[in-house]
Amino acid sequence: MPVEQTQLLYRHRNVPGINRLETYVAHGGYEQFRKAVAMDPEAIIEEVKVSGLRGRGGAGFPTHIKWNAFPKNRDVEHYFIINADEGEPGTAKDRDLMNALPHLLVEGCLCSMVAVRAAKCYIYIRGEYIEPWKSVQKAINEAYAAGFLGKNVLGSGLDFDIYTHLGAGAYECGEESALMSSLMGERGMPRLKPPAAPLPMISGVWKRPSVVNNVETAATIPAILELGGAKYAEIGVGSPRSRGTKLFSVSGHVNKPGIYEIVLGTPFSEVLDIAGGVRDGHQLKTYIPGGSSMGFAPPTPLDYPFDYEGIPQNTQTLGLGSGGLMIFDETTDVFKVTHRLVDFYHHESCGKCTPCREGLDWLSKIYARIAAGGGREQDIDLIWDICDSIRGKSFCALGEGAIWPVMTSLRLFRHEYLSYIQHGRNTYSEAGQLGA
Amino acid sequence: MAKFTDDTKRRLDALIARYPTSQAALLPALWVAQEVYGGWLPPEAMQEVADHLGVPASDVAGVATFYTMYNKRPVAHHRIEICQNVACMVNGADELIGYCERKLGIHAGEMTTDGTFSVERVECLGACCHAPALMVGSTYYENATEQTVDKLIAELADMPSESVNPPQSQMPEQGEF
Amino acid sequence: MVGTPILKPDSWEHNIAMSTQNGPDRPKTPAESADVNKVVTDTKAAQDAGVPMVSLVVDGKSVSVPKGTLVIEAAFSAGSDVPYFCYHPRLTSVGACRMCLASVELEMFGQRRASIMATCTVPAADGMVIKTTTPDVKKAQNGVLELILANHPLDCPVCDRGGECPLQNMTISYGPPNTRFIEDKRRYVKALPISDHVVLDRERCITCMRCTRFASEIAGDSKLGLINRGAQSEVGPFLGGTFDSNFSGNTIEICPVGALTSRQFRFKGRPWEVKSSDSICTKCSNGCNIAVGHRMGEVVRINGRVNEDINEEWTCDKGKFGNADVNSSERLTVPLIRDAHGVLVETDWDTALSAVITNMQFVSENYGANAIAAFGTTTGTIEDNVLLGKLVHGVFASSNLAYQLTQAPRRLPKATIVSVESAKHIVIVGMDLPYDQPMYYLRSVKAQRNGATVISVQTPSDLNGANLTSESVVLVPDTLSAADYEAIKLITLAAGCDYSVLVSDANAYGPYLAGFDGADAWVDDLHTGLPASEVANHVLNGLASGAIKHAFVLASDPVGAYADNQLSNRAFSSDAFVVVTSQFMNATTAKASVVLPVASFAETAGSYLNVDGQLQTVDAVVPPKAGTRPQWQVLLELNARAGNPLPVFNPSDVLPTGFLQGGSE
Repeated sequence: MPVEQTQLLYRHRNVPGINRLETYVAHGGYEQFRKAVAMDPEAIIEEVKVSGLRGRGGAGFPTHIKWNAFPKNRDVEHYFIINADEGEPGTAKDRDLMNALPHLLVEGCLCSMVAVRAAKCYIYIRGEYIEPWKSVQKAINEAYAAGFLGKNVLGSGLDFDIYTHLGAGAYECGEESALMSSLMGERGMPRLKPPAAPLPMISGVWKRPSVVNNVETAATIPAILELGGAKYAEIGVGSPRSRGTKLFSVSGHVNKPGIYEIVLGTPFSEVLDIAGGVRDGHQLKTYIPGGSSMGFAPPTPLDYPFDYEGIPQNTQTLGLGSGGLMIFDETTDVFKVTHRLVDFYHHESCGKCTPCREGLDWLSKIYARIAAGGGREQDIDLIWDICDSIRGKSFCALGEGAIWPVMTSLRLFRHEYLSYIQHGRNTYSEAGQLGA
Repeated sequence: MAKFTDDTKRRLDALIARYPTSQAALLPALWVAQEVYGGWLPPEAMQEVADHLGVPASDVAGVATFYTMYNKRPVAHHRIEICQNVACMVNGADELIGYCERKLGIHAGEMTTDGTFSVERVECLGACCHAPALMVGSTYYENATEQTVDKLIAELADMPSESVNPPQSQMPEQGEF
Repeated sequence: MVGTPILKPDSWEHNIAMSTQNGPDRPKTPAESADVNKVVTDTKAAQDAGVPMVSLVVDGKSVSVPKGTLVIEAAFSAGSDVPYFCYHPRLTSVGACRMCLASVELEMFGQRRASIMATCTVPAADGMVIKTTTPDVKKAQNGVLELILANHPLDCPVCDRGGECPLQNMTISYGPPNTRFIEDKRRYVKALPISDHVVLDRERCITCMRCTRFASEIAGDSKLGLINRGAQSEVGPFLGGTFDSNFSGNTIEICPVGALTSRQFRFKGRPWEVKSSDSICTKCSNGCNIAVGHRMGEVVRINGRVNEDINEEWTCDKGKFGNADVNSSERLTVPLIRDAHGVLVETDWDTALSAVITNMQFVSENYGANAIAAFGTTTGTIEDNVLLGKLVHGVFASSNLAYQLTQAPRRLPKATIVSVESAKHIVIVGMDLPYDQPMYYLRSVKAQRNGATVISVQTPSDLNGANLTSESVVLVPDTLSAADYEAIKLITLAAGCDYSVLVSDANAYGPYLAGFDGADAWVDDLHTGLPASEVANHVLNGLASGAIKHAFVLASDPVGAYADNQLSNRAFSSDAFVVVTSQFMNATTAKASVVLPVASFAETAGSYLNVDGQLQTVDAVVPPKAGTRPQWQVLLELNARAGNPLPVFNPSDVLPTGFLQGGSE
C-alpha cells in the first residue's frame, strides 16, 4: 500500500493567481499570521518544537533550537534572514516555491519574525533568480499595501519589514555564515562558529541576534500553526525525528522530473514512482539523494524510509540534505559526473581554508589528468588521502560536501576509475553496465 | 572618468537606507555600478562605489571579484549561459554547449567578434527538473534543445541587452515588479 | 633494521616517522619565538593582574590561563608546540590555514566530545582536554602541509625567506618529506614590485591573510586586499595600484612565506649570515625599537623589535627602509675646511680639530665667553650633548647653549603612545599622523576599532568645531607658531581637556636633559612644562649682529629648520666661525667654516628620550663608515685639546648613574 501523501506547502500550488495577494487570502492566506502576531513568541516556538521541524535547506538542524537561542527581549534589533541562495546542484525547489507561492514565503517569514522577535527580515536570493526575486518582491509590495508589513501591523504594536537582497553568483553564500558575510557586504566567506564564536542568535549580522532559515523551512510555519505542532508531527511514516513533508526536486534520468511534496519516511521506491520511475528502458545505476554534497547511493536497497535517518543508514551517503534527488541510469559515466562535481566545488571554493582551497585544486587537476588518459593506479589512493586531509578539517561544510561524491564514487564505482586509468575511457558506462 | 550621476548617487543612497551600514549595500551597489558602466566593472567603477559608500577600494575590489556575476571585463550583449552541472550534464548539456559553440563559431568562454553573443558554461541554475537549462539575462530556457538555441539566437539579435542593463540593478521596491 | 615495520613511502605514517624535529624545541624563526614569548608574557601579566582564570589540561599537563586565552596560546603556556601560519598574537584569528589543528575535548550543547579543531580560534575553557600529539593530529598536520606545498613553488634557493621561513620549519617538523603532486602548479607573474619597497610573489602566497588583516586592523588603511576566490585568490593592492602605506614593510616580516619580500634587502644576505643587533630608529621622535641586520659590517636591513610601550613589534617604512641612508654614497667621510678663497676643501681630522679649538680659544680670549655659542643636537644622543656642554660651557664658560629650533612649549605629552590606545575621542591637529607620528597613529587605529572617534583638523581654529570634551585627546605637532599654541591652549582649556605636543626629532629634549638650560634640568620640569626656549633666537640674532663669533653646531640644521628662515640665513652668512658635525651636506654645512663627518645612529652609542618621555640607550651596531667618527669621540678629543681631558672611555661613562632621577651635571 503506497504511503498516503499530503500536500501542505503545495496545497494551493496550482490555483491560478495564488501568487497574488487576493487569491492567496481567499484561500486562507495570512490567517496564520493573524494568529501568530497575537501569540506569545514562546508559544510559537513550542509549536515548532512539537512539530519536529528541521531545517529544510540541507543541514536538517531542529528549527526550534535555533529560535530558542534568541534573547527573549527586544533590547537590540533582531534579524530574520531567509536563505534563498539555492545553489546545491540538483536543488530547484525554493525557486519553484518563490515563483508559485511567494505569499506563502512572506507569511512564513512574518510568523517566524514574531517567534524570534525580529522586526527586520532579509531574503537573500541568488543573483540568477530574477523571476523568483520579482515574484517575491511583488508579493512583499502587495503585503505592505495590505497592511501585513510596515508599522504597527494589524494593531499589534510590532513593526515588520522585509527586504530582498540579491547575491551575485557564489555557491558558498548558501552556507549560513557566509551568507551573513555576504549580506553585510563582504566576500562570501564563512565565519567562526561555537566554540570559537558566539551563536549567530547571540551575535550574528552586525553583531546582533540573527537566524538564517531556508525558504522551505519558513514556508512550513503557516502549516504548522494551522495544524498545530502535534498534528504536524503525526505526519511522517519513518523515523520519529523526521516529521512532516519535504519538497524534493527530482531530476536526472526519470520519466517525470519535477518538484514533489512528499511525506517524510515514504519508501524511496515510492518516491521514485511518484517521479515516474527511472526513464523507460533504463535501469537505476546510482542516485544522489539530496543535493550533490550527499554523495552517491548504491542502487539497492530501495525500500527504506526516505528521511533524515533512513537515508544515511541505508546508503552511506550524508543523507537527505536539500532534497535535490538526482537519478542516474546505466548510461551514466559516474567518473565524469564526479569530475564535473569536483570542478564545481573547486570553482565555488571561497579560498579561506587550506584543505578546501588547495585540496580541491589538486583533486580537479588529478581528475583532469585521469580524464585525459594520464591516470595512474596510485591516483586512487592519492585521491583518498586528499579527501582525508579535507574531511573534518575544512573551515566549513563546502569541503566536506565536495569529498562525499568523491569518496562514495570511489567506494561504489572504483572500477570506472580503473577503466579510465587503464583504457582512458569508461568501458562500463559505454556498455551500459550497472556495476563492475 | 567618473560616471556616477546625481541620479546614480540617489539610487545608491536609497539602497544604503535599507541596511544598518553602508557597506551592506555593497552588493546591490555593484549591480548599479555595473549598469552605469555598461555591463562590467572597471577599477574606476569600483573606486566610485568605494568613495560613495565610504568603504576601502580594496574591499570593494575583493567583493566585486569574489562573485562571478560581476564582470571584470566587457561582456557580450547576449550571454548564453548554459548549465554544465550534473543534472543537466546527464541530460545532454555538454552536447548542447557543443552545438552552440559550432553555431556561433566560438568556444565556451568566448565572445563573437561583433560582441553580440557569448557562450558560457555556468554552474547549477536550479532548473534541474527541466534539464538541460540555459539562461540569457533574466530568462531561463528550460528543457532546452538545439531548436531552442536556434530560436533564441534569432530572436535575441533584436532584443535589448540584459548584460549592459542587468535586471539586478533595479531598485527592488520600484519598477515593473 | 630487522623488526622495524616497513612504512609505505608517502604514507602519513612514513612522513611522521621522518619528522624528527618537532615539539616545543623545534627550529623556529625569531618571529615565531617572539610570538610564543609574547603569549607567555601576556598570560603571566594577566594572571598577575588578577584576571579570572580557567583550568584545562594540555598534553597531560594542567594549566591555568586567563579567561579569553585561545587554546593555541594555552598550549604555548603549557610548553606544548602547535604549528600555525595565519594565527598572530596581534591580529584577529581567522582559522584559515588549519595548521593549528589539535584535539579539543569539550562539552557543547550538553555533550562531551573530542574533535579536531583550529586551536587558534577556540577560547580556552574550564575542563577542556587538549592533545597536540595524537596520531590524528599528526596526520592532520601532515595533510595540511602537503596541501600547502602542493601548489607552492620550490623557490627556496632563490627566496629571501629561506632560512627564516616558518613554512620550511613547519615542513621539517610536521610535514611530508616528498611531494606527490605531479600536476602543474599555479602560475602567476613572479617578483612583482607592488611599491618602492615591497615585492609580491603570488605563487608563494598561502593565503593566510596575515597581510590583509594587518592592513585592515593594524595599519587601518586596507591597502592590501584579496581578490578573486578559491584557488585563484590573490593578494594585492587595489587593482594595479601600489601598496602605498607607511607600514607596508611590516607585511614583509609577518608573511610566513616569501610572498612579500623587501626590494631593499633582496638577495643581500641569508638570515644565517646576517647578524642582528638591537638599536633604536632615529628617523622620528617615536624611538621605535629595531633590530638592525648587518652583514660584514654593512647594514642590510631593519626589522622591528618588541617594545610594548612604543612600537609593539612594528616599524614604519620611513624607519625600516629610510635607515639605509647609513650606506649612502652621499655621506660625508672627510673633514672639510673653508680655505682662503672661501671654498670648502677636504682636510684631515687633525687640521680640522685644531682649527676649531684654535678659533674657540681666540674668540674667547678676545671677545669673551658669550661670543661663543653652540647648537645642541636633537637627533644625536644625550651623551653627545653633555660632552658638547662640557666643552662650550664647562671649558669656555659660554651660556649660549641653544637647541630648540621650534616654537612649541616644551612639555612631555600627557597622551603617551600607550594611552592613546584607550582614548575615546582623539583629535589630530595639522599632522599627517601615519607619517608624522606613526606609532601614535597605530594606537589610534586600535582605539578606533574599539569605538573611539578620531578626527583630523588642519588648523588650531578648526578645533572649535571638533566637539571637544574633557575626555578628548588633542595631539599637536611641534612645528606650529607660538600664536597657534596659545590658541590651542585656550580652546582646550575651555573644553576641560589638555593638549599634547608631539615633537618631531628623535631626541628633541636631549640637550635639555644634558643641562643646556642650566644645571638643574629635571625631567619633572618637562612634565610640568616649560615655555619654548628663546636661546636659539638669541644666538641667531647674536650671529647676525656679529656679537657671536663662533658657533658650534652639533648635528643640527638651523639654516634649514628654523622657522624664521631669513634670520637663520642671515645669522650664518655672517663672518662667524661655524663648525658643523653632520652625516650629509645640508643648508648649514653649506655655510660652515669646518665640517666634521660623523657616524650614523647605527655606528655610535648613547641615549635618546623619545616623544613621550621614555629613555632608551643603544650600542653601536657596525663600525663607523670609513673616515667618519662618532660624535662623542670627536667631542672628547676637542675637550682634551682644550685642556679638559675627561675620564670617559665609552658613552656609558658619560651620564651619571641615576640619570633622570636627579639633575644632570
